[in-house]
Amino acid sequence: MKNFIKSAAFKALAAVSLFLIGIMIYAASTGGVATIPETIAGAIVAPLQSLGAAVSDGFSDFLGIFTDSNVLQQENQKLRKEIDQLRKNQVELDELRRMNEYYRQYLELKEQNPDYKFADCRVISVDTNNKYGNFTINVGLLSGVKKNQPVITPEGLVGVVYEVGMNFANVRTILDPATQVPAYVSRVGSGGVTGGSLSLAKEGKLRLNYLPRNNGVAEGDYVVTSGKGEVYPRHLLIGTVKEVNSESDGLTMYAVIEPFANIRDLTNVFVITEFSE
Amino acid sequence: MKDKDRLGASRLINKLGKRYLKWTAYGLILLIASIAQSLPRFLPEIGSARPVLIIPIAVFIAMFEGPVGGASAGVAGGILWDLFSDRLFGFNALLLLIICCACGLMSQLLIRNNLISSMLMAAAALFTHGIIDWFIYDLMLENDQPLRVLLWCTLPGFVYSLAIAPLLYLLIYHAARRLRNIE
Repeated sequence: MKNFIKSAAFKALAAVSLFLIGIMIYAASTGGVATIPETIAGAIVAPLQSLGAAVSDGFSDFLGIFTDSNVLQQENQKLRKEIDQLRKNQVELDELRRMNEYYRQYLELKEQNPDYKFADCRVISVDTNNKYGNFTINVGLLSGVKKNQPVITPEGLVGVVYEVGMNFANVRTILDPATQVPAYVSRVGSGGVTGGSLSLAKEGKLRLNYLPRNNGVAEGDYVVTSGKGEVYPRHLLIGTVKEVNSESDGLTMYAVIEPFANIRDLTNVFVITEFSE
Repeated sequence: MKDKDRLGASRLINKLGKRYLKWTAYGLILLIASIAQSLPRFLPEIGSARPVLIIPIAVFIAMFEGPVGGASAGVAGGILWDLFSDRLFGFNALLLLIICCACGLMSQLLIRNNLISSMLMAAAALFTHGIIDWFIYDLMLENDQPLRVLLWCTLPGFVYSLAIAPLLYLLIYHAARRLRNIE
């Protein structure tokens, strides 16, 4: 043991440890941009991860042919598309009704906004800690993706980019307590900020916090982004209200939201790289 | 004399080539393990627990190759893990460097390398890593129901990883034996 501590190998390991500590300090200070060693390693490994994900998804889909009835699957997909369209229509009607009350004009929520620019991407990795479903996508700086850009599916908002490399980006989902999205309930206009918690994340749900006491929010109401803070565009679908409760301080209330998107089972997502308000 | 020198040089090159082959093979195993453990739909989730493959593999490499080899495997595996993890880059690499170096030292000085001792070392490594990670990220930094995180995520992940570890040991055992024969 003493011989090992005195050896050159131990000194080399100590130097490597100090180098790793230096990298960690640098990584903490870069503000979401991957460090140089991380970028280089990611540039090599991310394509392999994409290939692995494609093979794994293909194999899962192939098995699905035998385990699920093909006919039922097609009917299910068709019905889901119809439900998505009905939900979007419902949000638009609520929005028009609310704005008519206050004599303002609104932009309608469209399924595909012409002013949005998207980066189409694939989920290639999920975090092994996986408490909140955070994942990695196969696009990065080279595709115009930057930190704090929203990530969506056709169903709704799923998260935000928090770290980006050359050809990959790490996404924090809306179930994560660190992801706070300014939002409001489309029918009544009550605003708040979304946030996650571990117990709700296990059920695939999140909270809409800081609702005023007389908010008028009810189960089944739709929650959409408010556009405040300029990170998320307005009227992105988030989810439906499941219940409304009082906070422990008794001053404000919160709503439990079930997201439209299936956060735990994502394969393809979009990053909104540009939008205009 | 010149013929003897040539023979010595070619033997050295041959030996170095075989050593590079061994470490390339270990590197590939770690790369495949890091990809496999983070693929979305490859390994089944039990509750919210996903198995960690890199820690047992790095520990088993340390048991066969000693503290320096083990530390190198730990750093390589940790870096690959950090790429797609939401932990600070270098965190897992540093932890695994220390853990695998310690495992390698223990295998050289204190314990024999067999399935049971390797399983015990892997369990200790998984537990140590899990507790440190939980303490720093869930208790100190996030502080969102840390006890629940420990009971629902960390400990189930530990058990799941340990359940798969014997298969990984057999993989490394056969790889190490084959590579040593080549060397």
